[in-house]
Amino acid sequence: MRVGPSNDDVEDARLAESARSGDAHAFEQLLTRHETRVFRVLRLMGIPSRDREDLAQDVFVRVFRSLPGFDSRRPFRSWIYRITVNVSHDHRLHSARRGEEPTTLDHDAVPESESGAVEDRVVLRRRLEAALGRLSERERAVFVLTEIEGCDSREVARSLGITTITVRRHLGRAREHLRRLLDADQAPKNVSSGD
Amino acid sequence: MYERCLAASKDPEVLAERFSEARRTQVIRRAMASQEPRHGVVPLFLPLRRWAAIAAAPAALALGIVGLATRDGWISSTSPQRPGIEVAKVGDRVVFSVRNGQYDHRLMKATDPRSLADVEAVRMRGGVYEESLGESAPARGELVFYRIE
Repeated sequence: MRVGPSNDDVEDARLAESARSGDAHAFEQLLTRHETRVFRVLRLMGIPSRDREDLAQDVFVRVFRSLPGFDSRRPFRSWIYRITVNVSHDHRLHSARRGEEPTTLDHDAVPESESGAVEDRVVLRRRLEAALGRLSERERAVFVLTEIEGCDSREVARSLGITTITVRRHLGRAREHLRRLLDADQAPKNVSSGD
Repeated sequence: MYERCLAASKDPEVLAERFSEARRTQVIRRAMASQEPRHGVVPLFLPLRRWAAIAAAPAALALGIVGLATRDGWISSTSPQRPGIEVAKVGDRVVFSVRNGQYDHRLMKATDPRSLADVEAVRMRGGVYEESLGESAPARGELVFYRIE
């Protein structure tokens, strides 16, 4: 259970307050503190690498524009998750309207200098990403925010605008579904590297 | 396999993307540019827009009720009984009550009205739905949309 704001939350609130009054340096610090988080969630929500930087930019521009409405008593992290998931949702809708195929697997090259252990982890992560593509968008968001980002159910509920009961229900379904998909897929699979 | 995939996905070494330097500059420039109009006309307009949105919330709720009532045949020229829906704040809880006693209803909730269709519905048992504000209170200035079917 959360008992109070963490040091990170306090620092985020301070930076958000400065950025709100037009301090570009404070905004850049916020961006630096949260960009990997935004990229990671976009990726796990199925945004392909070709679109990810554009959408991450969209997230931060929206964040900046919406700063006047940010409640600094709440964690900035939850708020940026909400915007990221919304941007991902909008992108999915636009892609569907344009008749594009939803992307479930993303391809990023494993640096040649990396050890086999890193390569193994990349392959395992890709398997999870492929399996995530089989979940509903809501289940996927709940799973990503809870299991990968480590948010508690209240924070996820707040980020997605749903109740904690719904969060727990989606999480249970997502875990069960993923476990079934991944455990059934024990045999080594050749996942290609594209870009 | 599930646990291994999950552990690999949590590894910060594997998932650490960042903006390129050129893009980072562009993002900051765009964000700052998006703020500029606020020094002109918008400060006067923004509060009005916020109030308009707040004022629109009861209207949206009323529309939902009308839709509900029409579907269930509550409002008709021959029906003398009016439908009843009450939304009350009781302590830290919000209580929705639908007085028809005849049908089961489903309630959906989202901060983005476009996503109401994707949200999982909660069944209103006995025509009542209660929600604790402590659990999932919206951020300040944020509207929450409910749909009751």
